[in-house]
Amino acid sequence: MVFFQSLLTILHPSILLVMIIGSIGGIVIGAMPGLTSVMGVTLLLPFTYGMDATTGMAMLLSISFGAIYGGSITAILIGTPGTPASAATMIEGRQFAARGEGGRALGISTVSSWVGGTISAIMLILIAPQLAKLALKFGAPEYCTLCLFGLTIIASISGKSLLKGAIAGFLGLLISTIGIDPMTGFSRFAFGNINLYSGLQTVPLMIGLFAISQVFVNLKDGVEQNVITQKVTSILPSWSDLKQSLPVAIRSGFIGTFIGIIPAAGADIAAFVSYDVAKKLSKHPEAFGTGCIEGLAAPEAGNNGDTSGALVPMLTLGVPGDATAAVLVGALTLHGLQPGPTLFTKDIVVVNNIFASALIANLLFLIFGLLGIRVFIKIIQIKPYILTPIIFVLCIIGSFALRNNIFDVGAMLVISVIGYFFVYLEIPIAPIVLALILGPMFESNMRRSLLLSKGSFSIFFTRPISLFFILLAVISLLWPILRKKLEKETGTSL
Amino acid sequence: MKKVLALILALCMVFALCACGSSAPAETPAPSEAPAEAPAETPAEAPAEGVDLSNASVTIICPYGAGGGTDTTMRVLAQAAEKVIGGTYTVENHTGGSGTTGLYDCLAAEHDGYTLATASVDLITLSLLGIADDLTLDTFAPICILNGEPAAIIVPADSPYQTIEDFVQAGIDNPGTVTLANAGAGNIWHLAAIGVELKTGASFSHIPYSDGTSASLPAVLAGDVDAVICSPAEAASFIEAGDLKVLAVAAADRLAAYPDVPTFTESGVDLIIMALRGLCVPADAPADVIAAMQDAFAEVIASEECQTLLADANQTYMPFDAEGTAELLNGMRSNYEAIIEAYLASAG
Repeated sequence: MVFFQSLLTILHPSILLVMIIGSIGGIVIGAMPGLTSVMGVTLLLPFTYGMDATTGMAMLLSISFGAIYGGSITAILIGTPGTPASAATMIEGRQFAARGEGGRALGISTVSSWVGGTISAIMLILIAPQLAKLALKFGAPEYCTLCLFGLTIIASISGKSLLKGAIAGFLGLLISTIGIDPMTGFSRFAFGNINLYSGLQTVPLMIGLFAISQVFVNLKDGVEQNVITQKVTSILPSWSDLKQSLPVAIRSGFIGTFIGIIPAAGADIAAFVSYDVAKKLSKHPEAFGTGCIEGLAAPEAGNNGDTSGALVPMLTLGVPGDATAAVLVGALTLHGLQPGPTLFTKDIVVVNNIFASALIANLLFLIFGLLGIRVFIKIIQIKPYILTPIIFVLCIIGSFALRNNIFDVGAMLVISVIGYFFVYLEIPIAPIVLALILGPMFESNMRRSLLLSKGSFSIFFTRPISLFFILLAVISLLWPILRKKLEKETGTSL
Repeated sequence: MKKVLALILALCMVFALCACGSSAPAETPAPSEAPAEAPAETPAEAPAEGVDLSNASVTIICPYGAGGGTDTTMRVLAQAAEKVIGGTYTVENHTGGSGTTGLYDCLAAEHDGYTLATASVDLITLSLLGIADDLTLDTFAPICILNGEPAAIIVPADSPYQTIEDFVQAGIDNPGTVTLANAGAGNIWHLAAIGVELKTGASFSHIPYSDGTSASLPAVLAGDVDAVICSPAEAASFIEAGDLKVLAVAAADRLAAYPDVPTFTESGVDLIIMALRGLCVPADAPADVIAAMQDAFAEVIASEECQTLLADANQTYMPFDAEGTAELLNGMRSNYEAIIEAYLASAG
């Protein structure tokens, strides 16, 4: 009953309009190479300052879901992934386009994305409240070891190289130590600057890292204008295509959800794993890579499956499931909401509204994807020299409007230069942001645990949930080594 | 193609305006213009009253984030003032620097008496903590206090400590073993806990939850910590459900919402510590404008509208006019001096 009330809230014209704008905007952002879904959410986050929490979150979810789907448009039609999450879609997608079946591929990807996203949203609605109940039992030691697990995941899977992932992660941790010491209340590393007294704001840092640094990269490398020659008329998929893609899409939706729940593993990983599983389980694996329907449906359902899955740990524990969810943590705290189990007791209405908007946001990109594809194809051929200044202005406004503090704009620009060089050194950026969120949680909960245990580290090992997370952390650290061994033994790539 | 482009550009601009309009001060030049004329014209017409506030456009700078408790109080005041006094009242959130940014921004604005800031215990503690020596009752003249939330010791319902006397005695008998959660080191509730120690000779193990009280409540419910010090309003849902129990409140009188809960003073602990929220104005603003504001807001906080709005926001009504506010804050100063001295000493 309560849930239907939330559904009605979300379907209110004022919220629905914002979601429609968000969904369309998200698809466009996702479709533009160089603009990722995280960037889209970060860029548009400032527009939610003036909204209430429900409207703001509804809009951000629509953007993020739309963008993850939108990436497939370019992946299929141009052969360049619009977002990293659609890199796996490209493998099969461009084969379809080469055959002149771009429209057919878009139809399959649109429906599969929706199936994956909707499964994920339903799983979110089913799992999150249960996990929140369990999370109420989490004390400081559990949070500490959970963060430790999240941090090890960042290092081991978010980049191509363990070392580079660790470099980014540690930079994030380092930045997060600036400001008030959580245990003594005294400022540290502020160097007498009153603006640093309570630490750096995460939102301007995210804008700098995800948006401006990408603008710099685009300026230097130049972004070629997208030229789409393929003629796409209708993309409504045929019944036989649907029948063939549906089972794979459903399975991949579950895989994506599961990967989304793991802290720090994002949509790109969900897409590749889904593709891999589909190939391994397929009756005709040799068809993969030549433009087969299952190979297209799997990564698309997988990456959209990640979207709501990543919200599960974000809402229940305050630990973001991927970089987009990290930005959403920032969005919730802006509205005075603290993600975590108490959110489910104190602000259950907002939580239900988020659930409802997750379902609707998936429906929106399905509708606009199927109906508006020709418009999107036009929009994504926009010239980069028009787009880049718009993004730049939005970034400056966004950083300033957060607290009306010009210092934040400076901080945003400084970190964006660091982000720019990281891109060239192939150091992943997402770990910085995840560590920014996890770092303070880890530190304060560790020191709080030690206060409770009067300084004894045994508190982390005698509590079962805490011990469980420590074991997971050890496994995830050893994973790169384990994987090499397994690959050698089985002769396949994992 | 051109049309699509134009549409996108137009949308971007509208969006940009939305983002600015909601909070950026650059977009609201009105406050400084309108008042600049008002004082110049009115004295000739109505020398007795001096200042006419009914058309004033006033900015209230809130040093804490939108959606938080302080922000809520500010918006209640703004809404009630528009009804009772007239004119427009805009709340801007200038956060950061442990609450100093907003107060400094108020000082940086024109001292015409039409840019107000949040008055709180910060005006005592910030200087004592050595964070900002100049943000005191010397630089800001109080206008009013609307809301006050007292500190309270709250325990699980099945706690071995069922009275405040039990709890304090445990802190005296076994110093440093009873754990007491607070909303972050140096936070007003942490200072309140140190106040209890100073007044009783007890000693607790303070566990700071820097994310705020809501983060500490699960730990209290789970029994990880023995008690929490916060305002009863923050734990209201758990208190009503019977999971948590309030032992005592650090207010002058018992709270209307918890008539059975004794005050600290009744229980022999001479301590009044409350989070207070109201308004202040740079002290060197024109005296007639300050006086007019003080009179007008005395009316606002007494008004029906204001009380209803505050009750809807689940905040405790604790009104003080300008004189009362100054008296209250100055009276608290010596208490805080001792507490903060102890806090600074303990933190090294």
